[in-house]
Amino acid sequence: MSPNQLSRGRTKAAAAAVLLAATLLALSACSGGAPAQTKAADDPNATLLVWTDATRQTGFEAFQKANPDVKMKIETYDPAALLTKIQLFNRSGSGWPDVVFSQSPDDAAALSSSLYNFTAPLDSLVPQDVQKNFGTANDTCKISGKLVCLKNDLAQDVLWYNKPVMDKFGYKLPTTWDEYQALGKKVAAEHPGYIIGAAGDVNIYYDYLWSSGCPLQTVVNETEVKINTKDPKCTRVADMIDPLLANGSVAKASPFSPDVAALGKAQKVLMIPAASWFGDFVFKPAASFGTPEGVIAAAPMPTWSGESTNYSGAQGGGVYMVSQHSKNTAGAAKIAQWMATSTDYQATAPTYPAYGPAATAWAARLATDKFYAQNPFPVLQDAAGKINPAENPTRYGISAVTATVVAAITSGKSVASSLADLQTQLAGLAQSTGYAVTQ
Amino acid sequence: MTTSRRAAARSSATAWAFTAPYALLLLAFGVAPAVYAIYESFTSAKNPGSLGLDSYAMVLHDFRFWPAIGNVALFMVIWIPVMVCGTILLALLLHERVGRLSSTMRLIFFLPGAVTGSAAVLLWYFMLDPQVSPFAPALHAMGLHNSIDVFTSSHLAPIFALVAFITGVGQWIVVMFGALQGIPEELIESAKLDGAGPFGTALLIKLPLIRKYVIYMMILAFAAALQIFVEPSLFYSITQSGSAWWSLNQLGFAFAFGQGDFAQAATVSVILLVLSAAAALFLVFRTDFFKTEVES
Amino acid sequence: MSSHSLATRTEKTEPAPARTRRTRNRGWKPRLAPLSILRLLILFGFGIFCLVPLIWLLLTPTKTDAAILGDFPLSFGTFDRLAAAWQHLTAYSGGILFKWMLNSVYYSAGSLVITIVTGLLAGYAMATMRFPGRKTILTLTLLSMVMPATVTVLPLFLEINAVGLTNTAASVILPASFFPFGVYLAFVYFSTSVPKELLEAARLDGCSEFRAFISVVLPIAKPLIGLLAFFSFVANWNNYFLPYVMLSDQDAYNLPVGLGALMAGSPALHPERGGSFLPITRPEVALAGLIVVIPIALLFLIFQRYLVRGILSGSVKS
Repeated sequence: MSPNQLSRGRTKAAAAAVLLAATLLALSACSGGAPAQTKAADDPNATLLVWTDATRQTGFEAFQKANPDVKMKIETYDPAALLTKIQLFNRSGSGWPDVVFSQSPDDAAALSSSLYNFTAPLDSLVPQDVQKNFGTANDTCKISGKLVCLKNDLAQDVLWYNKPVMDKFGYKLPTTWDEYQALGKKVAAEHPGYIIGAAGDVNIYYDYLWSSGCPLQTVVNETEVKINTKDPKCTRVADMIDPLLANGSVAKASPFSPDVAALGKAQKVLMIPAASWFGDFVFKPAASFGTPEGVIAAAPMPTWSGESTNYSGAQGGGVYMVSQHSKNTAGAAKIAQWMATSTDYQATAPTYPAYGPAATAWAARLATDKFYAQNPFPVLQDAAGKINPAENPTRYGISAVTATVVAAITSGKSVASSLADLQTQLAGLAQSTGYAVTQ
Repeated sequence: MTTSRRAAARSSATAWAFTAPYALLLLAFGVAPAVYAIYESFTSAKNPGSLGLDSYAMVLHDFRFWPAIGNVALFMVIWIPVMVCGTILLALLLHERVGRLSSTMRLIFFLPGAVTGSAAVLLWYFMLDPQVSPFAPALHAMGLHNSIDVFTSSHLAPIFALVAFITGVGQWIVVMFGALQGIPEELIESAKLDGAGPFGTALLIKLPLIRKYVIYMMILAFAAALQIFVEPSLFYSITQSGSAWWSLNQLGFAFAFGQGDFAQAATVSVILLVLSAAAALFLVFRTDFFKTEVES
Repeated sequence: MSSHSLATRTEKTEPAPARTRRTRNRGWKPRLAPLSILRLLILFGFGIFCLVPLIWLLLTPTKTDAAILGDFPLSFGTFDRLAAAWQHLTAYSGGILFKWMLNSVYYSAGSLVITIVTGLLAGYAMATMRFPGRKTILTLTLLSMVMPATVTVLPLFLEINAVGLTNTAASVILPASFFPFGVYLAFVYFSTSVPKELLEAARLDGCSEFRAFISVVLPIAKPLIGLLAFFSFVANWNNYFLPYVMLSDQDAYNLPVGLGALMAGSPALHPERGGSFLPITRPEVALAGLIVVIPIALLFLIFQRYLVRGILSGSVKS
């Protein structure tokens, strides 16, 4: 054996030993990783770990101030990390937060599923009368018959419009989507450059497809969803909006893009069907549309032909969840309940409170706000109960809308042409997250 | 014979004493995670406890997989040549006359890559949106007048390549420049005396001498391109163009982060690892990459 | 010329013969003028591509959120607005920004020290000694460099968790100390620039390998240490993914993870997620970016000397 061969043999042996050791190390690290199934009785003195986004942090701090004897720790986290972190904690068997705020309602669907097994049912932890006061707001938190989250805010749609310009042009507010389309054609002909909507964003789903009830997230049960982009409720949206995208009366850009902001600044956004927070956070800020006082008002959403209700969609609406691994579920539920229902906190919250009585307290801010041409609260309150129940939170979310419908819109193609792709992608996503898909 | 063997054993022991601390890190944070990931890729989130090729089958049949392969392939075709040639060109130009200008330019070339996270999202969006960009005149001249003209699907691979080049080239210029500085002055001077012009010196003398670094860079550039993640997720997060699974690495993230399916995420990353490793080993063993004087 | 002098000479002190030749070269210059202009055109042309974004980032925190959209992109706002942006960032959660900065320094410095010590020792041994397992380690080092980060998420978390270190500084410092890129640089450096004669002399004097390393090798390795320190620091200073996975205690976050969580929870870049009263807008995001970049720029200037001289070509020695 030459020295060379000898060393090569040894090298191989060393490599094998290294790999073996590594495998053993890795495998030993993972054993004992299964989440604890049994749970000790509640300990009311256990410290509660709260995970919040930066915006809700002040609320949790207010709770701590009002309840100094509650032991809690408030952490800001990156919302994009939520599902992974829970999954990692499930593998390691420890580390879960007790209370979580998530901006994304779809997280409730994922975290309550058997894949994550994270949320504690709140049916018996939150008093019945409090649950009742939520009205229909908590309906999307009822998953497989259990209340798995509390809704923080609602992002129901209304038709925000520029009152002086509408009056000047002598246009009537559309009450049906047919009238909306007719108005779009008129605007394109009489006042080109003005827009009555902006669809180059995932809001095409929230504001148009959802309000129409297009089945993209229609949950049948925990393992079955209905997705059918050939449904007339989907195609009627395409039929309505494609001509408006073509004639420019609905912008192909995102309502948050500098292009549409420039139109907003020039007061060329005649109207836009959009979420409840658009008034305060898109029309008002100087960095966005910077609309002057006394101009913006809210009108009810138009009605789709054949429907009796002028349904809305929802863009946003965060939720509070409580961990089933918490050593103090009652204490955790109390925090979540306070955050969602405290009139003191919710009256100061940025977005429309989901909890009925809190919404009334919150309304005071709008009533005295000179920004609005008329108080939008009554319209918002009416729309709050009309979020189309056809759509529910799902484990797959609707991000596929961006790669298909939004991509089609921004590249100048029609919505109709993108619906087949949307079907394929959503169905693929739904299946990969464990749903059977029916059409 | 025995003495020399004993001496060899003793010097091996010394060598291992020097190498052991690093070897431990390599084992704990390099080899072990990779071995575990390979194991994980043979598990399945749907049937915990069973080992098999389920996750591979699911990944290969996922509707997102093949489009991501296409996107990444297109990106690699554009970016790798630009990156390799661009780095060499700029490093040679900087090395042509060493001085204050050269060192200032190296800092300027390096810094765009140091902007990361949310600031990078903001920065590159504002550089490319014709409504607000300082490069607006150039963008308008190219017929791009608003953000949707710029960020359409067909432009994405070139845009990602452009940003990845500007943010990536600086670090490699630093490395290449260091390598060029190591070339003995005599070699360059004698080439010049032999009548070689600046082109000849650069291409015939300097370039062959920094060959190892070029190979090293090609290996890492190939792996980086295959694993492209930052640019597509950066632009997706703010413009919603592309998708959350434009590239393979993003798809891996979508599996792990969006679906909590670590088995499929591991499968994607093992596929990436195998392709990167194959390219690396090919280049290493076709060249004298690891060769040092100790072995000669 | 010996490799030793190669490694230690600086840019300015050229050996005498080279200088005389250079003087002679001056005579060629006029003939090269058009090419020199082309060279400058290319360098400045690309320089603009790099410089304009940096200037934009410097100017943005001085403007209001609205002015970013409306004003000329490269205009200056006011110092007051810059101070306000700074105040908004530092006021968040009782000045936790400073804590994140300290953490970043701590984690980066901790990893840097371990990286340099282990990297120098291993690089030196692999370059100058011949021992079983050497090629395996080199190959595994190279493979680790091309390993996608996703490969390591779950295994690293499980490993660190198994030893009870999640949410601690060690959970970031230890895995980040594994820096194959640096080890490879050290390997190339030592395999080309440590003169054999020096080592032989030290050994003949009866020095142990370790003594020889300290007294002979380390002094030559200064440029390498500078280079390793710079690249390791930049990598760890900007490290997002590892601390993002390991840490969920905001007091333990480093700058990138803390700022990431703050920005993700504000509508500055994600207006589609709904309203917020947080005073975190685009100028604050830009300022946060600068807070991360400026230390790197300063370090680049400090280490400039090493970054130039640091690594020597492996195949140069004849």
